Amino acid sequence: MTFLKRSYPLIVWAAREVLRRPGRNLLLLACLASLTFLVATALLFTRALDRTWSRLMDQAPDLVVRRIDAGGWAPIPVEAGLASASTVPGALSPKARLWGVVPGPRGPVTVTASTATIPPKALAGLTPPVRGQAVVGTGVTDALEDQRLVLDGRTALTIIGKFSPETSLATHDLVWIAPQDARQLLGIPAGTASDLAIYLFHQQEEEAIRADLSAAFPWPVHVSGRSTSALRHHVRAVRMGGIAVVACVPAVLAMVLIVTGTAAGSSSRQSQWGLLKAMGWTTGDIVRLQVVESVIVAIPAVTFGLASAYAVVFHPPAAGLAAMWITGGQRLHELVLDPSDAAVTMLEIAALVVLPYLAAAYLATVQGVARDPLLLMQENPWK
Amino acid sequence: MEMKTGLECRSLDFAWPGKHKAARQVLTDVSTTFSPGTLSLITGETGAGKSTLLHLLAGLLRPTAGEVRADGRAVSRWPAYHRDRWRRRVGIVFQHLALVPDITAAENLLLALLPGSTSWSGMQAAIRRQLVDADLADLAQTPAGEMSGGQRQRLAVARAMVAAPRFILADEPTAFQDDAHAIGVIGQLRTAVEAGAAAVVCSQDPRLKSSPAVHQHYHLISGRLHPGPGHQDPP
Amino acid sequence: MNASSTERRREQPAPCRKARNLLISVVAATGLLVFVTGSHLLVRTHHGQAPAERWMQILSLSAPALWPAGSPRRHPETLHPGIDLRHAVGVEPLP
Repeated sequence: MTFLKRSYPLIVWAAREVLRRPGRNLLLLACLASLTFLVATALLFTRALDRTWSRLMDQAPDLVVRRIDAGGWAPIPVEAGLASASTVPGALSPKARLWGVVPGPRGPVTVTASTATIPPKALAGLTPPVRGQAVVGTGVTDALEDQRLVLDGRTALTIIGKFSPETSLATHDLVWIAPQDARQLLGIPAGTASDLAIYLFHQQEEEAIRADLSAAFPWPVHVSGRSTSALRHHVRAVRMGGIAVVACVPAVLAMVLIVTGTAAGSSSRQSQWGLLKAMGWTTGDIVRLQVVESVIVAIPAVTFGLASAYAVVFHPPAAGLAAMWITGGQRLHELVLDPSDAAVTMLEIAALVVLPYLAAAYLATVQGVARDPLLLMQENPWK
Repeated sequence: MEMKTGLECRSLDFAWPGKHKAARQVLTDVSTTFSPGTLSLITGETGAGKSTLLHLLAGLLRPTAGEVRADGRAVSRWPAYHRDRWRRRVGIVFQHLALVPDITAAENLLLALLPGSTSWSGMQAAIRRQLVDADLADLAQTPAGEMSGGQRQRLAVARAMVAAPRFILADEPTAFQDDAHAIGVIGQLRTAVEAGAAAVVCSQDPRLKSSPAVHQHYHLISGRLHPGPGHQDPP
Repeated sequence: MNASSTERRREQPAPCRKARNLLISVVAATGLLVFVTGSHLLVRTHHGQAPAERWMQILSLSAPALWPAGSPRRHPETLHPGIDLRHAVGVEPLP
């Protein structure tokens, strides 16, 4: 508190100095905010996509077993398949899945059926479909004018419910139907399933268990893991991060302009600095004044840039637009970000934007003030 | 222990560095003491080096030989940081005033108080007092650039005095003043001196030459300081 | 007492009122933005994708619906190891 009380006059005067050059400082604020916005949007989006993906993928099966025959994929006998999977140590809760991809009203849709009993609380108001009914995702309903859904050109279903938009990251193209309808639509005989979903006790054992699983079945099977798709996603995220870095090049150039502009601006103030030194201001006092002045401009600029980037990445409909722009067409809803991710992003912004700006102000002032006061007072900014 | 000996020049030399090694000698072997509680007047022709002497006394320039001592300490030999800090105890009135034109009169005075450790309210009180003494109370909110020459000069004097300095160095402080305001400025200097400050004024103003407030007279000729008419040796 | 302190404040010769207002505005605006954004972030972190994650688990879905259903990226487990995807337009190469 004593420190604040002692620094209060200097802080007030720094604000006064900001107001003495309103045009320049407003421009500086706009540039810093824009720069922060550009960099933060790219960083936040990449990180949010990665985090959202990770959290969703944590819920996906660790391994999926599909049967192969000479013609390609084949339905897997449920009983025999579950029995074989159960013999592998570390493989938990093998589950037969009934699902596939069929042509919908406006493109392919993912069709799935669930035989397990779902707790009412988890249903969130939806009713599990019976024969002839379907619960559809938002991407499917967009193409419909009434409550009828025709799949594969021949199977007509009545829509009894819609997945809420906040689940669209998982259910966007989903059609949830009764198992009988799924078998008929996908051509999967009774007693068989599309594949088996397997959860692991230790995910680190995935590679070892994969080999055991392949050997456990009496038919050729293909085992795909979550890590494969996760790796694929991370490759994509890294690529997007690379794009973000490339997008940062104009941002970095803008930063260089701001920094050199800040440095150049100090030369016109040298005569005033000489006067201040003549009145007893030390170099440290003048540097502190400049830094506080820069902070008064930088903090609201960076905060506004960060908040705008956050709004663009997370707040619909701006988030949807930003997602389509950055990913090139995929619609993304309701991304998530952990506070730790946000903190890391803020640190990156501090390093990329705030520190170079403050360093420019600090170094330019230190260099500019390091002369005798009288020589500074005689400095002609037009020389 | 600090000796209150005032401002002292010991064999002070100064030459401006010139091109092609042709340095221009300004001051030669200047030795004197400006004691606390005294007002000293230095006269001399234009270009004699009066302003340069003041700048050396203020530590704004380094002498090429000799030293400047303030209360027994060789301030001219100090590094820049310590000289800058010491200058908080010095009030300077520049010949060209050196005011900041786009801020108000009161804010010009505030600049002289900010590096100190006075509270905000203390600073405001000191500024108010000084503006009243300088007959500028009504112009506190007026930008310095919009004031007349005489008003700006009184403002420069006020800025030099606002921090209650121990040493006052004034270059032509009454040049643009009418008689009444000149008397006012001299009165301010006398008040500061009576409070224990050591004041050194460079001026050609006959009102200062004939003022009884001046204790010591000096004349600067060809870079050398001589006692002027009416000079009394310091106690 | 309040009136005299107000009068004293009004009489300040160098009040720097606009500068102080600027400082207050900066602090207030920054604080407000940080509070709103931080609160929103904390709420989202808690609520976040819980509904979508729930359905991923219930229906044992293998991947989120980030790509159209017809794309191999949507259902990577259906990619047959014997199928050459080098000539498939828009498909990412497998790692």
